[in-house]
Amino acid sequence: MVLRTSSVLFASALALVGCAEPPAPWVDEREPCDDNNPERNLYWGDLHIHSSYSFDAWIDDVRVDPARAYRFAAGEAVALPPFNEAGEGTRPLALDRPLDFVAVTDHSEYLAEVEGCTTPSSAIFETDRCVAFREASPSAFVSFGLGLDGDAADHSPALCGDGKLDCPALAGEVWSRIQSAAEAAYDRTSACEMTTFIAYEWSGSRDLSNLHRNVIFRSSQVPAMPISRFDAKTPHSLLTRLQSECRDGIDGCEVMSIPHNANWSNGQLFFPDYPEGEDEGEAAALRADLEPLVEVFQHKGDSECINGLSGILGSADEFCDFEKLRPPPLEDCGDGTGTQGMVGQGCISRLDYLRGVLLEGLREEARIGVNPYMLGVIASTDTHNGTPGAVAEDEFMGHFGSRDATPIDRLTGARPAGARNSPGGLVAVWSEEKSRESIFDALKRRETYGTSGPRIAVRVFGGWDLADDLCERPDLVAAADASGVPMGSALPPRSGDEGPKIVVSALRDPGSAVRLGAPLQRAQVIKGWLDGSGEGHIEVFDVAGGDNGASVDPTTCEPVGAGADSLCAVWRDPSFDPDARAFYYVRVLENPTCRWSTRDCLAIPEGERPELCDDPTIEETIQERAWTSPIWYGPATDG
Amino acid sequence: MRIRALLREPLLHFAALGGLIFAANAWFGEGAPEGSAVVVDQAWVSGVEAGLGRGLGRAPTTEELAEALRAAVDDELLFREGLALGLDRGDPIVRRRLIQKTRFLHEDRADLEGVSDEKLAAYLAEHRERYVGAARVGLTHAFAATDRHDDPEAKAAELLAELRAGGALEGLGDPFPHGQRIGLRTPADLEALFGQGFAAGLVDVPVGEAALLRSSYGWHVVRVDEREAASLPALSLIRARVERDRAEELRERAAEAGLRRLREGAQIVLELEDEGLRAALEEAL
Repeated sequence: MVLRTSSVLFASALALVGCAEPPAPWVDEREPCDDNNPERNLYWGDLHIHSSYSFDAWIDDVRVDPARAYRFAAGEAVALPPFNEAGEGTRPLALDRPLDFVAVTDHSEYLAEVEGCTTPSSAIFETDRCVAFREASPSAFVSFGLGLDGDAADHSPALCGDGKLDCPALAGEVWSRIQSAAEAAYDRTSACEMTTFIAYEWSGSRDLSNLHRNVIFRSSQVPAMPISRFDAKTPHSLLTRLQSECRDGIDGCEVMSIPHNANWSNGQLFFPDYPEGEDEGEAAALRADLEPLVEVFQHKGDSECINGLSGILGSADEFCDFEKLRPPPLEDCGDGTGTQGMVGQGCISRLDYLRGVLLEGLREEARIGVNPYMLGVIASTDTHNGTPGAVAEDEFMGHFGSRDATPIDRLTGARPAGARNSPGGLVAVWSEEKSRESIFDALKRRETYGTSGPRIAVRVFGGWDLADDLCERPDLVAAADASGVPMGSALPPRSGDEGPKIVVSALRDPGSAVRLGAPLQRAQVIKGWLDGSGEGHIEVFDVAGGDNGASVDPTTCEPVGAGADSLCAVWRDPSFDPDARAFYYVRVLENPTCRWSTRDCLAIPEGERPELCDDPTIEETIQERAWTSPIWYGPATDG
Repeated sequence: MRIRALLREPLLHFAALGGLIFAANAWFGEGAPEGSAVVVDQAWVSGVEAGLGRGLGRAPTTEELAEALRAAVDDELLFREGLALGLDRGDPIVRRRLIQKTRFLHEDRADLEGVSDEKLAAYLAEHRERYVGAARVGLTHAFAATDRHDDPEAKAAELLAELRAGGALEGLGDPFPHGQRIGLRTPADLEALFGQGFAAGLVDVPVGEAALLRSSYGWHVVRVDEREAASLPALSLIRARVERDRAEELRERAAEAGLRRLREGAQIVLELEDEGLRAALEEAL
């Protein structure tokens, strides 16, 4: 069911009424789930997937449409290109473990153009642009790609408008199909086997610095049209339109926007500037409300942390040297921003990485009273093969259809970074049940974390009075719920004289019938805070496990050394300053395993391997990991 | 609906719609196009004129338009001659595309209109096994972690003894991130939580009874709290899925029917020496 958008005036009036009402448990008709658990269950998902409806997927022979992508998430197989003579894909792929929830997030831009360029009776089918697109010419990719950049970007008059396509109408039709695909795959029975979200990606950039966001809806109540960067030129405009068209415009519509690939943004994705003429506090509050999360890991690399940038004090963190999309040396943006990150150029900012962004949020909170970056953490794949959750290092098929067909293609490809690409990660939530509303609400309250692929179970609570013996107590969750807050929350007002405690309880990935999970090496608390002069600090604490000497034989990919099946620790901040705003998040590391690129190199006969198989800046191993949402502390004078 | 799938299909840039219909007609034996005239009508002129105008950035002159139309007529003549000479048959790409297109034309003949609840209910009943969920188990467990005990199995056995001596399972054992109580789950879900082989160990445990089971993390005293047999969900809850599956099957069947008609109308000569193979192929055809 799709409701039409009400007028903005009417919507604004509704907003005043609507704000006070808590969201209903279910907007959509459905049976309650049998496994509902007030202490929350762990569910795995992928919230960033492109299908054949995305211009940059279709062009590489990807024909997995949203319906097929949702079914892949539930365990059905697909056959990826290249095609054989009968037109069938030649690379079969299926998940060894289905996902629990999934959102297909096709680029909202060009939904109509892709449909028109591939529809023989359409008004644009014979145009040069469409012919080039169907031939997968580099010029077609570049012209569609560059067409997304800049605040003046718009639909091309060569494809949309008079005598061409009625792009809004056609995009609306495609959008209906996306909704139907999500609906058909959503399990509304009490078994709650699969939850699908209706979603899209808003794909704006400025000076080729990435500003992309995934827009995820809580229910089937969604606006009649997705918002593209042609409709909303800036992130702020996207958010105000989501507010008016969804939240204020449609009964039961709720939405969030999740930015990703800060590592591609030259500091621009999280630079704290506000639209001219807007109240800074209001703009920051809108952002905090609609953007509670950030995707810190996906196929285009890691955005958690990087060593060596100015403006963050603390020791170097060896585990930040992880899945970096760009090779050193890199220029530091300092307090400014750069350009052209999406083509691997320009400076790198501390705002390109989670730690710098979280610190900036504390700084903004001190300055204007609102933290626009109170961000929970997720990871996803951003696959362009329509294959959500295909994150295994030992079965990586690339992300761009026939372009990534062979080991050589994947290692040396340029979309975007060959051997530096990653299979991508997963998002985990702790939610009462596996329904749209319950999972969305868990995401919204940030009781969620990301992993670089493995299904490591991690629970984190913070509090002032957490019992020291929690790791000996089977009722850890109930006790921590009663005396603390879960990951993603702000600590309650301080009690006692000491610093806050954090409890971490983690289990290794148990693996599947075809794939072993790796043991855990350590759990760490990462603390960030602002000192009296506003300087940002980071300190990393090993709280469970530690250096265990585990390694990998890179000639066989065999793991060497043991690790932990489970880790648990109660940790108290030893250097707490009650006047300093701070955050604490947890990182859990596996023992090292073989990186996909090493496996691909080994699969190529020795004499034929590309040079980069010997490139020392491409790691042979990977220490897969989980990053949790933070827990925040603010001095009592706040608010 | 099928038209849409057809339209979404990749098309060779040189195979314009006119050519496709033309080819399809030839395929279905509905015309003898080699002899027919090439008609340059106003629709064709408008199309060529628009394309030319876009390239030039202005309206073309009469001469330019005539030149472009001559080129288009030449293309059409070459295209027809190529078909007449059977050149399309030697090209694996053209061949593959035509096979796909024709198949889609057949699929499009599926009657997807008027999907009543009765029809869907009948489909659901007919394909019951596809929609029946797995049997599920709900349990409570106490955990003895490998990383906390030298002999976690012995520790779990102690916990089981406590339980059997009248103690409660709740409050026993080590903390487990997923908690002690696990609601109704399928075997696959349980293996995703506890590791391979865990669900198989529960098969023979009666409701209310407890057993010692090994997981990826250590040992567990597991009490089965409830079991739910596999059951068929109400149509209203899975309507969209059933409708999708039924439409897919109808399209598949329409394509099959089309192929049957083609086979029946075609002369297929089997020049085979292997009698076994001949018999098998005759049966298959």
